[in-house]
Amino acid sequence: MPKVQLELPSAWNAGSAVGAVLPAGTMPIGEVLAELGRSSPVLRARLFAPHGRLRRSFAVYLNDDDVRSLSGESTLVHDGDRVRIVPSLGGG
Amino acid sequence: MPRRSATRISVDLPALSAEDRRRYSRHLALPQVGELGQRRLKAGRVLLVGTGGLGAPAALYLAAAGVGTIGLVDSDQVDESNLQRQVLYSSSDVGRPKLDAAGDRLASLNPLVRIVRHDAELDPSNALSILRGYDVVVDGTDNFPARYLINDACVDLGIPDVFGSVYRFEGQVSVFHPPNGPCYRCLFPEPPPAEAVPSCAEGGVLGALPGIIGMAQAIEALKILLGEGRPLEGRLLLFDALEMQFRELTVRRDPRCRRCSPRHRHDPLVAEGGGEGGEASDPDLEIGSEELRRALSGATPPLLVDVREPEEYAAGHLPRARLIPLGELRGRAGELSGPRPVVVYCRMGHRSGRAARLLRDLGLTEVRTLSGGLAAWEDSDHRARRSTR
Ligand SMILES: [Zn+2]
Repeated sequence: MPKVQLELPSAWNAGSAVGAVLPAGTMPIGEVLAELGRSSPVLRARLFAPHGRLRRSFAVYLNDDDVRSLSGESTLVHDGDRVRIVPSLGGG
Repeated sequence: MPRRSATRISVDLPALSAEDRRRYSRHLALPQVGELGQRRLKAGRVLLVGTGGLGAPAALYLAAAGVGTIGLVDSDQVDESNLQRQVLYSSSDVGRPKLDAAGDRLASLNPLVRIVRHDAELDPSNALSILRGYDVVVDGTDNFPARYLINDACVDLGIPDVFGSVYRFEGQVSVFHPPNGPCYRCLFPEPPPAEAVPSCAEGGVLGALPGIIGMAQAIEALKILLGEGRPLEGRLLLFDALEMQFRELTVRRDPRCRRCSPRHRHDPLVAEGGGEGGEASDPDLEIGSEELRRALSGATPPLLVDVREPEEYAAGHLPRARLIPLGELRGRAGELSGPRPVVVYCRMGHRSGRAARLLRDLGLTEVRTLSGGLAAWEDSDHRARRSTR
């Protein structure tokens, strides 16, 4: 049972395995994302720019709030929370 | 968001003809539209940028509803592969300019509305003059540079930007209209890296999907013209066709937004992400003020390089910054090779953006440019002090 529910953009083709990589317990969302990046080079490239900076081309929501309106990457994620990455879609 | 007062009866709203009354009788029957609302629609001017998957259904419904002036921006021709979703066009239109085909179709649907054709691709030089004078802009484009440009021009002109986008089985809708709500850059400050962005042509899109999103955009445009209902400002509507599920997320204004914060509202328009000429900003090379501040107090503080002119440097610079004017940078790049990462900066971030690209091209791997330059740095400095008071 994954402790934190994670939703990645379907366009990222990340599959459904990602929920399992998250360790249990409370941690900052920046670490959750770093952990995610370590799980797959593809995800890492999606999430982080070459110098390790989190990209700003998608929004990260913790439950119903954009983490930028909380404490950014230091926002704490607890068991049972839902983390959702909202991608920027370009098509029309 | 209070409803705009229905008592805003203006003498310059056009009157309805007998033909209008027959055609729009189902609108006249709605208390929220009625005679006054229909006159507002008749006076309304909506610009559709892009007449593809999103613009096609939006244009059909806006014309049918009696929006008096509908502008269309597109420079494409109808391709056979468009017909799977761009319901404005017929098989016989293949090869015709979209503006001609769309203009004919909309005129036959409703000869009472005026169609204005802008045979152009939106760019930083023409965006303001094309958008100016419209009440609402509907973003139905298919690429990020156009989306950022539409946002930036709408913020500058104060026009609501009715945003819609699709990919494969998913869609998004929102209305960006600061200061009432956030802008597109508040939500997505930067475009995704180009290699991570397959287009609908490569990735595919379900035929009816842009229909539902484009029609949601048309409804938002009508609500704005009518001044009725709760606009989709500050809310992002997500649609998942495979799950047949709508969800809504709250989007907040970013007080540091590089477009809709007061100091940036009227910044010159630039081509964003994948623009021509290599002058577009490269998000991977940028470092924000907060991040730089942290890096400077960290274990391996970066070497700061001021690429402005000596007199600008003399008037004030960041502590311990080294002066190398942009014009001398190529010849003096050797001074910067070493273990320390380099951060270049200037006043606004334009010159240092060029500097960072130059240094990267010369083989420096650890180089970044201060995003927004000293202007952004000072801004964040003020905020930091205020918040500790
Ligand atoms: Zn903004």
